Amino acid sequence: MELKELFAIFMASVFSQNIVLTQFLGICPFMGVSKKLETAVGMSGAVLFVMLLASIVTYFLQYYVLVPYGIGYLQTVTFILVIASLVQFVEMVMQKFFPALYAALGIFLPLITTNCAVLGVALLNIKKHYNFVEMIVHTVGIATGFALALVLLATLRERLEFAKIPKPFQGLPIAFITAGLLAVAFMGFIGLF
Amino acid sequence: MKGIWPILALTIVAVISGAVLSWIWDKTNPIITRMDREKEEIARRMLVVPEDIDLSMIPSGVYSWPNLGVKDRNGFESFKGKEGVQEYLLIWIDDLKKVHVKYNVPKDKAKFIEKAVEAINKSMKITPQICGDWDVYQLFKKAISSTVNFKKVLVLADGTKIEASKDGFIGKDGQKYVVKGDKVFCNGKEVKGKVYYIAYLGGKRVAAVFKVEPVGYSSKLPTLVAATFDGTVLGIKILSQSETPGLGARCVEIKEGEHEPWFQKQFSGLKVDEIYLTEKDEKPGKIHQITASTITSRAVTKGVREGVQEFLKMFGKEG
Amino acid sequence: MRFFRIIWDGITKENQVFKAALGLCPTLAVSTSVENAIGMGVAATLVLIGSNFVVSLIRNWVPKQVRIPIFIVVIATFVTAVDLTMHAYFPALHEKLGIFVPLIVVNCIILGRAEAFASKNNPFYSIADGIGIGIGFMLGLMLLATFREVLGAGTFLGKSLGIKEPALIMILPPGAFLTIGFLMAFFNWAGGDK
Repeated sequence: MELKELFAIFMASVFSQNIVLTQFLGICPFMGVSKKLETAVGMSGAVLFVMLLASIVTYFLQYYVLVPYGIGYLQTVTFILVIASLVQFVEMVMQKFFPALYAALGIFLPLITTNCAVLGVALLNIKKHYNFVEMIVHTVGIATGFALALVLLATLRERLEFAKIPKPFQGLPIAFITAGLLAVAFMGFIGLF
Repeated sequence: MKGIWPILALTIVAVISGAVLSWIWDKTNPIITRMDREKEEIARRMLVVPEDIDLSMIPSGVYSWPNLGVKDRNGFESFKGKEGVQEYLLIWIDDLKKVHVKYNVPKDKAKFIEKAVEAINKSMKITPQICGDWDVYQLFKKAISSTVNFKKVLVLADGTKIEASKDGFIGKDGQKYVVKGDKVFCNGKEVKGKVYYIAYLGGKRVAAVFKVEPVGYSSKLPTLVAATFDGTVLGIKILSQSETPGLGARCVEIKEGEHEPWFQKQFSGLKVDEIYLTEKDEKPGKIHQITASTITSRAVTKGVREGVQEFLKMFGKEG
Repeated sequence: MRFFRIIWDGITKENQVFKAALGLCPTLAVSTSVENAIGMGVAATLVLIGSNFVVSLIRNWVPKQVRIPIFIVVIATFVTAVDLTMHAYFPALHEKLGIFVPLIVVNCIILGRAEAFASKNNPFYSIADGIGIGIGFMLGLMLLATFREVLGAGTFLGKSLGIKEPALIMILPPGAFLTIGFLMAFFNWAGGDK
C-alpha cells in the first residue's frame, strides 16, 4: 500500500468529501451541538471513538460473516444493531471504569446511535471496497472532517450570538446558512485530492 | 428470568427480522439477478452494432434475441436473417397500430417503420436519419444485434487465452476455470483473469466487449466497453451507479431531446490516447467532464482507458 | 375522526422537516430534483407506516432497556424490504436514489415517531401518524427540491423551463444548506407572532 494513496484518501475524506458539508451525513448532531465550542469538541471526540470502533466491527462482520454466508441483505439490520449495542456497551464500560471520561462524553453517546454518519461511514467503507488499512484511514479522516466542520461551525455560531440577526433568521436558519457558506468554502477542495 | 428477558426479546425480534428478510430476498433476488444479466447481455449486443446498419451484414439463418427466461413483447424468440427482420418489423407495425387505437399515439411511428421497411427492400443503409424515429432505429439495432455471435475468451493475468467450450473454460493442462460474476476461480482458488466477449457480426470479427469496474465517488461503476481490434472505442455503457444525485449520477443522464447519455456517448470513436478529460487530467483529451463531478468523470475515463490499454496489450498483435 | 385528524396534524402541525428540523440527512441529500424527492418521500412513508404499525403492536411487551435496539431492528427490516422491493420492481428509481435508501434507517424522524407516538398509541392511530408524518416529510422534501431543481438546474421534474444559465450552486451541497436556511426563516416569519 502506497503512503501517497493513503494520504489522498485521508485528505479527501477530511476536505473534499467532508461527511457533513458535502455528504449531509450526521446533520442532526451537527446542528444540535454546535452552539458551544466546548460541547462541539466533546461530541467530536465521542464520534471519533464510536466511528472507529463501529467501522472495525462492521468491517469484520461484513467480510467474515455476511459475505461468506451469502446474507449480504442483512447488512443494514446487522450494522445498525451492532452500532446501537456498541454505543450502549461503550457507555456502560465508560461509566464504570472511566468516570472522568464518561462525565465529559457520556451525554453525547445516546445521540450517536442515530447519527447517520456512523452507519454512513460503515456502509461507505464497504461500498468503496477498502482494505483494512484504507478503511481505518478513511474512518479517521471522516471523523476528523466531522470534527473540523463541527468546531468551525461552533466557533462561528458563538460569534453569531453577538450579531444582530433579523428575528426570523435567529437560531437554526442562520446556522444552516452559515453551514452553507462553509460548504462553499469546502467545495474549493474538490479536485485537489 | 428478569435479566434474560430483554436479551431474549431482542433475539426474537432479530430472528423474525432475519426470517422475513430472507423470504423477501428469495422473492426479489432472482428478479434482480435476471434483470442485471439481461441488461448486460442486451447492452453488450447493442454496443457492437455500428451506427450505420448495413443489412447485408446479416446472413441468413436463425438468430435469437437473448432470451433469459422472458420472451420479448411479441413473444418472439428467434427470427430468420434479413427476411426475419422484415417480418419482425411488420408485426411490430401491426402492433403499433393497435396501440394507436387504444392510446391515441401519434401515427407517425408506423409511417417511419414503413419507410424503414422500404429502405430494407432497396438495400439502403439504415441510419437514425433514415428511420426518422429513434424507437424505429432502436428496433433495427435490436434486430441486428440479435445476429451478433459472441465467443467468450478468458484471459489470465499472464496473457494465457482460454476459449470457452461447451464445458466452460478448460485450460491446456485440463484445469477448469469457473467464472462467477466478475471473479475467476480455479480449483476453488481465486485467480486474476478477465472475460472478453469477441463479437462476430455476419461471420466477421468486429469488436470485443469487456467490463471495467472503476470506483467513483461513492460507488463502483461497472461499465461495458466495446472496442475494435485497432483500439477504437465503439461505445461504453455504465451498467449501474449510485453516485451523488444531481452530480456524479449525471454520468447516466440523458438530455432532453436526446436518446443516449451525453457523457457516455463522448467515448464513441475515440482512440486510447484521446481518452482523457479535456482539463484536470494527465494530458488533455476529448472527454468533457460532468460539472463539479471530477471524481466520477475521471474514474470512468481512467477505467475505460486502462481497460482498452489492457485489451490492446492482450489482443493487439492479432489486430 | 381522530384518524384523519392525526394524518392532518402530521402534515401540518408536526411537519418534521421544517418545524422540528429532523430527518435532514436524506432531506438534503436527495433534494436535488423533485423526482428524487418524491421517490424518497414514498420510500420513507412506507417505512414509517410499517415501522409505526409493528412498533405499536409490540409496544406492550418490549422491555424498556432494549427498547431502542428493538425499534431500530424493526425499522431496519422495513428499510431493507423497501430497498429490495424497489430494486426488483422499480430499478430506475432505485438506481437514482442510490445509497440514500439504506440510510432511511438512521433518519431521526422514523425512530422519533416510533418513540414519541407508536410506542404510546394503538396500531390504528399509529398508521395514521405514519401516513401523516410521511406525507408531511415528502411535501417538505418536494418544496426544498423544487427550489433547488428550478434554480440550480433550470428544470422542473426534468422538464426544461428555459432558464439559460441556472445557478449550479443550488444543486451542489451548499445550495441545500442555503435553501433550507431561507425556507426555515420564511416559515418562522410567516408563522411568527401567533
